[in-house]
Amino acid sequence: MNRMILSELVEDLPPVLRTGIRWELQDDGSLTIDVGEEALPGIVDHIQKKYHSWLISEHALDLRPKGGEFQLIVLLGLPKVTVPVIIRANVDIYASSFHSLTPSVPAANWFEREISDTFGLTPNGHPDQRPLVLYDDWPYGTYPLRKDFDPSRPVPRVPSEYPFRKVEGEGVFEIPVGPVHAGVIEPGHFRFSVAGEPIINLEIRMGYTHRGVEKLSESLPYHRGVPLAERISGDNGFTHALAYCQAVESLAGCAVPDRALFIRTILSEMERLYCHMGDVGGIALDTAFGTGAQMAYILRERLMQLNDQVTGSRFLRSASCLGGVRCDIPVDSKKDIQRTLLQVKLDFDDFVTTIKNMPSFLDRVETTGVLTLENARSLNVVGPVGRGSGIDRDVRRDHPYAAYDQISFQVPVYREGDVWARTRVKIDEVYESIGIIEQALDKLPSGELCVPLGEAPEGRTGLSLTETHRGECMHWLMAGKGQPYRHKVRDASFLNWPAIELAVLGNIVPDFPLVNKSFNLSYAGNDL
Amino acid sequence: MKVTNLFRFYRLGVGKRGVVTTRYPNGPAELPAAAQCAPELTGKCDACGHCAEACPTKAIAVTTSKFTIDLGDCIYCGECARGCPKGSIVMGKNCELSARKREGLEVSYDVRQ
Ligand code: SF4
Ligand code: SF4
Repeated sequence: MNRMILSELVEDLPPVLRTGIRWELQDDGSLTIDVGEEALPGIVDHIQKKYHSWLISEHALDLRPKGGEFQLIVLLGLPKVTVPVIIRANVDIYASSFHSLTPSVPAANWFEREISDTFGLTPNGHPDQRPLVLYDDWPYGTYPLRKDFDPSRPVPRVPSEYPFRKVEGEGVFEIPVGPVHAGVIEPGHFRFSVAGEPIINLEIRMGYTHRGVEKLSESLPYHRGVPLAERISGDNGFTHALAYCQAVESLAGCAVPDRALFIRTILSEMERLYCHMGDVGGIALDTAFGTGAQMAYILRERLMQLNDQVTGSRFLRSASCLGGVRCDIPVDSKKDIQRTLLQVKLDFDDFVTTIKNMPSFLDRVETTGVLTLENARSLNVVGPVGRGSGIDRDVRRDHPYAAYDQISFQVPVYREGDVWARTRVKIDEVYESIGIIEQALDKLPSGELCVPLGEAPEGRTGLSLTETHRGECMHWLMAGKGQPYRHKVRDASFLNWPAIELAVLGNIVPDFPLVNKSFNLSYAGNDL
Repeated sequence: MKVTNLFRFYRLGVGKRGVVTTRYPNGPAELPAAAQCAPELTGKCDACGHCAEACPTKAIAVTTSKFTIDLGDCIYCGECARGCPKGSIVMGKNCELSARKREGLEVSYDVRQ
């Protein structure tokens, strides 16, 4: 199936686009196309129009130490195909610029601004050339992901100011919010322009928690990258670590034992469960429905205690390792999980009935913060946010990893795109997750937990996708000597943040926290 | 029908809340069996340095006479315990780790061959 569609795809390229390209079908079925940098936008646009592809990632590589140039990697997902299309293009060292995809693929916006920040490659034709991920006072001309950048030396700081978009007119006010917020949450700046109560423009400024994760990972041997990946974004640490482990395993061609695959599935779902409980509780809290919120928070606490019981960590830290998993699920833990989930399910039923019958709650969440299907598609919004707007995609079903291919589950999709639709997606996913864990526990095979990783040949690339509770998470690796040569991380938040700017338009300012909560995005995962 | 079901659940104890908090700090902290608190050196050590090599945050320093763990850097991952060929490091069960000064977080042991 994959091969058929993909080879057809290349043969179907119009002759203008086909000249000068080289393509190859890999062993795993994925398609690699090498193109000239100037042909890139044309080809991506063609594939997008004809096959309804979406942009998984666009990132750059510095191949100069290997005697090459800069390289752009564009990863496209295609419906009904389980492997991505990989398009590579070399960028000339002296020109240091490339043709931007953003005019035809809006989802490429932040990716290209990130490339421009971290590699100093200018996206020609990009409508917004402002910096994105680095601090405001980062000096011009210092590009941290180039190989000649020395991370051990402090970078001088040059005071400067970020040019925010100006909205002017009679009665238009600007409300700056953050980066320091009222609650103990992560830092991010939101600049609203309002005319009266309704928001007419929102601009989000991120990058306050940029820690140089990708650069750091390039200096760490693979096994040390696991604790690092666990800490990319606090509450989906396990799924991030899993994505990293899978990417390294694909580099080394390591076959993970069955038991480990099932335990990975169980732990992924346990993580989704406690995160979704916090999410739906938070949504209830932001509508000032405290009782409902506490009902969900009690369940979240109970699930975190279950995590602690099973793995020794409330956040499932140190449970993953290369080649398998660290922690076993013996019969005792299995019973603990089953008992707790039975109770959680009953109590969660109570919570759902309560909020569904609460007019003051429904009044706030229905028709609030609508993200239309068209906007969601063009920005390639992923996860529960995308599924709340009618995008029927889920990595667990479409690109199965761990043991998801041996388990049956539904992917809930709603079309309204409002806060209530996103809440219902999360509620339904809670029930699905409980079902997945129960099935996986029943089928849990015996056997080894972990196998040695083996050798990862230099220069090989590995890609892995996982579904965090926020959506698709990607880790892309190029192998170096015992450590990654390049490690690209793309959290779901990176794709979903720009969508909030669209979802809040026309809503009143007091609804922003609610809309924001229903997206529940990670700041640290975005900034890296 | 519904009522009978409800009673069955009650008899099973499902849905019964009871006491959900713990007595800590008035009683001992109840840690799960899998809990991993601060790593402790409990056995012989020949200062081979495998643990320091395995530690992702470089929290361990070993010399021929002294073994030091800086709990301010430790992330309680257990790599050191797995990395010790003698099995001398165990992940302890003491969760009361606060100190009055930064130096108080550095725990040292004499190396016994
Ligand atoms: S538990 Fe982990 S972080 Fe702490 S000393 Fe051991 S290896 Fe280092
Ligand atoms: S504790 Fe174990 S690993 Fe560490 S130096 Fe001593 S013998 Fe070696």
